[in-house]
Amino acid sequence: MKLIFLLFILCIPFSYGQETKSQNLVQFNHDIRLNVIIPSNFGANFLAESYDSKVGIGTNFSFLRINNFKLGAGYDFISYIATDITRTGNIKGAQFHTAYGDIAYEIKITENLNLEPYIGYGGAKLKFKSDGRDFGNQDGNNFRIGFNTDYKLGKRFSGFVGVCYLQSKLNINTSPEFVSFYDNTKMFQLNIGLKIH
Amino acid sequence: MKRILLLLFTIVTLSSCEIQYDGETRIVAEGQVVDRNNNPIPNQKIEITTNAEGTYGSTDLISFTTTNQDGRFSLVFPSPKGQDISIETFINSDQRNKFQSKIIKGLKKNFINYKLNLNQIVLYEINDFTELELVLNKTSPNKQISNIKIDGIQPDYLVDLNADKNENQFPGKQFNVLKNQTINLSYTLSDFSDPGKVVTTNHTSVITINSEKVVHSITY
Repeated sequence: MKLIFLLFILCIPFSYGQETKSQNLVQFNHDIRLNVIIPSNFGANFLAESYDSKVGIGTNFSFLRINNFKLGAGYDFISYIATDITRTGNIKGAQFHTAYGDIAYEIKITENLNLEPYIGYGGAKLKFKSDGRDFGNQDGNNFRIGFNTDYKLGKRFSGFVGVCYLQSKLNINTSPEFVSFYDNTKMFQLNIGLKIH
Repeated sequence: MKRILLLLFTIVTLSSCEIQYDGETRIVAEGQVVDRNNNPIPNQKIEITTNAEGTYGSTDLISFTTTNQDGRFSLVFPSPKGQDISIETFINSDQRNKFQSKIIKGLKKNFINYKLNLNQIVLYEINDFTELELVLNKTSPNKQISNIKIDGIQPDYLVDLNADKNENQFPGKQFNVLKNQTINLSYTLSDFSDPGKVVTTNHTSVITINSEKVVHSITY
């Protein structure tokens, strides 16, 4: 009985310590970003050479925080207009959708200014459409790396500007000389938006 | 309510008639358009349509371009779903110049490793053609003519890549043929005079084509 009591007494400080540490280590987070995307596609691939991009939209929800690391998920949508029918077919446009998970790291520069580099991985889907008619989809996955600079505008709001490099690998069946043209996309994104925290 | 249901039914029916495409499969059609002397013909209109034949068939202009200075074209477009969709390449379809038009009709099975290489497509000038007319004079009710074939340069307005080579594609008794050539005519005569023994004979003849229309008579 004495031994049990002794063990109980010894365990109290440990359990207290673990509880305190747990609260500090993993926290729920609720940063929501809404932004416009100014995409710039490049490279010898079909989105860069046979389409013109329009301004897209993006959103990201960072829901978990571990120290300065933040775990989140997001979604981007970018619309494209075909410019080279010989490579796109007689289909007016494509819509680029991607849903992803990401890990960001918050670096406080000043009281109001944060820098937040991140990396992410997700799924991509290109939907080919012409006058509302569906001309098939192309699926794949993508990798992103970038950063956001957040400037605090109020207690709950920050404005942010960020740059992201997004590289996608897409499924394709075509003649061998065209595979590398259709199986990937590369783009830089300039992201400008609001962060609610 | 009935009208709404009818409208919905119509929309569903019409949308299901549309040709479906596989966005992850891009097929390629390429070739070079030349004249009879093998000179490339630039700026020729090339159109590719997909065609679902049948009662509710629909057609899509899936790609188009013009030939470059070397007469070459290369078109990449999404593959239609289904093996029976006809993929037709129209060359110089509006014929706003001195050259003939041509249609090359294929299926997905004609695309080898996702590519249909049409190689050299010869377009003749319209003025290079004249007409050959066959006049069949049947003198005996017991005789029948069949397998009429002409071997010579014709415009080939329609080329079906899946046509049965042995099929008699004799479209009639009039042919467009190139001027200043010789045509080999062949046909088969069957004599049913003796019901117990049908006598079949193959015939050939050479027809000289100059610049004027030629009328060739076969009496049997």
